[in-house]
Amino acid sequence: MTDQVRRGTSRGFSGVVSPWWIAVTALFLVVFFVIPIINNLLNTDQLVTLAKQRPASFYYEKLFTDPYYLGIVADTVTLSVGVTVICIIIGYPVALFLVRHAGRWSGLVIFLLIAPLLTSIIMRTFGWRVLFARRGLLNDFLLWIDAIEKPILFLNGPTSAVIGLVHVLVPFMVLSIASVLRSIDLQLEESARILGASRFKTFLKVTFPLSLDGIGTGFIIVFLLANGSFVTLLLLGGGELKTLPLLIYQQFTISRDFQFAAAMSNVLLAIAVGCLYLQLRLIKRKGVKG
Amino acid sequence: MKFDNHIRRSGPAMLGAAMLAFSVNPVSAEDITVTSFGGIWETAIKDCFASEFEKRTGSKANVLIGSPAQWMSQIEANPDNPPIDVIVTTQSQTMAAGEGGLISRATAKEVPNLADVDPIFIKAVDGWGACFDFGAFILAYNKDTIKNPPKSIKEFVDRTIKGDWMATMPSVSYAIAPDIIWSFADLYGGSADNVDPAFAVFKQLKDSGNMISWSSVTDFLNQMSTGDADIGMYWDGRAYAFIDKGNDWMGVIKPTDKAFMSCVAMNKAKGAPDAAWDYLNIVFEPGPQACFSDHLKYGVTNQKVQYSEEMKNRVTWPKDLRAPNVSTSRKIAQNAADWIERWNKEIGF
Amino acid sequence: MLIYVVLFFIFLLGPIFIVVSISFTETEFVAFPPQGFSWKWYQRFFEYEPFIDSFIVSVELAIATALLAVALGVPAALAVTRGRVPYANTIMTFLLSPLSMPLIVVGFALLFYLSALGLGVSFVSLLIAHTVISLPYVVRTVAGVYRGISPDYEESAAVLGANRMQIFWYVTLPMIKPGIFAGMLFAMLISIDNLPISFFFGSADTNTLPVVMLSYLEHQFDPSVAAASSIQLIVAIIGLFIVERIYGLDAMAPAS
Repeated sequence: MTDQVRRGTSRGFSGVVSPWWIAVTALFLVVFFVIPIINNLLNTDQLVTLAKQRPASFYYEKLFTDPYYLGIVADTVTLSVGVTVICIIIGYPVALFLVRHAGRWSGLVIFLLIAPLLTSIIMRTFGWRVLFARRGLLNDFLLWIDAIEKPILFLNGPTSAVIGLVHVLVPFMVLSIASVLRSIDLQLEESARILGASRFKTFLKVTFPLSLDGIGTGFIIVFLLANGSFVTLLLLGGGELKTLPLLIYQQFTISRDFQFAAAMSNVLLAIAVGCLYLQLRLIKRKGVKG
Repeated sequence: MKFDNHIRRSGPAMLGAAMLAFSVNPVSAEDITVTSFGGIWETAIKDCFASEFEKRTGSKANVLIGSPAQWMSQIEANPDNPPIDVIVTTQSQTMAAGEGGLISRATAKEVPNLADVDPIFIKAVDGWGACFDFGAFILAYNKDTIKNPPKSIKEFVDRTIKGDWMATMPSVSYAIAPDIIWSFADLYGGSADNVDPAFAVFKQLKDSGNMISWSSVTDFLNQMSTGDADIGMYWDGRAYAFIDKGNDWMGVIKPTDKAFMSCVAMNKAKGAPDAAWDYLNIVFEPGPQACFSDHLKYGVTNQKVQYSEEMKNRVTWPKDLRAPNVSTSRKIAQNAADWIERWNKEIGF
Repeated sequence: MLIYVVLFFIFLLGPIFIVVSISFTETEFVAFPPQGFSWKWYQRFFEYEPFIDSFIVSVELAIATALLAVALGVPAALAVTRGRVPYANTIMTFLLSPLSMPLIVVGFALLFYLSALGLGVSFVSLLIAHTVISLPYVVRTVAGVYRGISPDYEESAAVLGANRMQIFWYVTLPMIKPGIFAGMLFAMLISIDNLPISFFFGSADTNTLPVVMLSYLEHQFDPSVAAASSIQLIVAIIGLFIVERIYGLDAMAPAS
């Protein structure tokens, strides 16, 4: 199917839904998300606190000129992108397995994917802490095989935080990819095989491009969740790894400097919305080509 | 739920005599919502204060668990009809809440038992009610791995840097981190205006690689139990409570160079019914205070409280502790954001 | 491939296994490997009212959130995908934007806003807040699946004389079922594990399990929190099992 034809049909038939269906949802978000957020950002200087009151420009200047905060912003984005990419790499094969090879076991596979999400994030993180502790299983094992001489403080570095985040977020990636892989018409792959394409080539030329929408969904969900996550980082990062959500959390719970928190939220929001828009544009283009 | 509260609180006023005619004593029949941290805190608040309140007034005191930051926001968002009637706060939070108009100032007039509270605990929160319990930030250690424990905080710091043990210290994510920064500054010759000495010490500790950090009171106990840490700075009451649960291996050192003191206040939200005063009066009464102390092994603030012999030996009294005065507390709260920033930049755990 | 998948699941389930096994320890503190075997932490869970109460709130909230998010999210997802909406990309970005806001800020802002509206700290407020953050999952998963389905099916139905409602009900809905199912599941999971928002709407009647667990674990970390997690897991498994029986977990697959 060429671009032209595909575009033609989707223009010819505009789906079952009236564009107005968006209105209710959009209204809901405007009333219960946009207005409260704006409202909050305008009123942070009236909140109860003993913290020093400074003009908002003070904080933005700090965020955009202080190398420390520029580093934090960079770390936040790097961490989110890194975690998302890792999730795609380790999650894709599982999604493919789930859809193409699991057969009657697919219910079980989905169940196993969802199961970790059903225990509290606090406890999942705790499970990792037990593994990574100075006298934890991992160190015990490494000591036992003589790989190290002295226990390593895994919990103080970014490694444990990345592992923890990937663990929390990879099921979202797998399910996102799988739900799109499922809707790919198998006949397309069969046709490609019949026309002489190798298995790998079929995958690369047919299956993979068609599944980009799933990767896109997964990318957006995982990226944004990683971008805003703080529970995992708080409990596993050991403080070595600082991101914007962590600093926002500090302002809320410890120093009550709400204006700084508001400035950082705006920066985080801008990053997220910017990346989101870019990704959607990218997906759209790829999607039409597919 | 909101509707219930509405009826309960403003119902009598709105519906007037009709309601009053049917209820014998509308004020004492009011249920209140009080606050507590979770776990053994909640057990103590329920057993010692809430149940006593219920016994005396016949109305219910719902205990809401959570954290002060959450409760303060909830009152602030609903000033006329606060979802919380009695709020638990740390010292600086109490002052912020008081000056921000979230709580009513309690005196011996509203809460008669405040007359017997050691004045130091009223001053500690600038007269916004008083602290009802206090703790000392002592050293707790593992007797099995440390045979020759340090006697002072300075010795603890020096020997940690030297590598005598693995130490654990509160992280910057812990609620009273700014106060702890101040206490180190004070110990090492600085002040709330000059915390350089504190940061110099933290930097050395961190660079030594012999220190990890804890971010909640239970975090510490886990690190000690698993052997991740041998010694650390910790609350005396929580350490004693842990030892009493059969953990004889833990020892407590009352440092000779004055442990840091912190206390917790309880106050009535502005706009809360008068029943909240009755509850507060119970909180500051000797009997219920002794009960609380028995549960949490902390010192309490009513001077008429009769402690057991064991608690008498355990509690470190305010005169032997390092406590910020009101103006220092205020400076700590004002500088907290800057200190946290500096901590993030220089220390980072 | 199979080996890889097995390794993947060991990674995924490892921490869960640790948590569940901790819940059976005899020690007063959290120990792994667990020492001895005991049910006492489960007993503690059932004796400790806030665990039970908040657990019920969490489950009710998760279900209500998923339903509301689907009701609001599915029409929007369909319209934005294939509804000739101008600026579809921008609208999609907007629909997904709640995901990008740090949750603690969303919670804080909504607390003040909903309180000003008179909703205060209530179940309704919690439901609204959770729906705001769950909506993007439903929109995105449904849109993802819907985009992958050729419009030919709907067009054929239209040619054959079906009206809009009939097409939606008999053609579109069955095909997007996997998306709705996945979105709903995400919505429930996001809701049931949410801490930063629920935290601001906690009252004696509306505290959710994560809020209670965190507060408990900060002040008394005994293995009962592991037991609470395990019970949450078991109940969720039973829930999934029921769904599987009447609906089929495999419903992630299109009806074809």
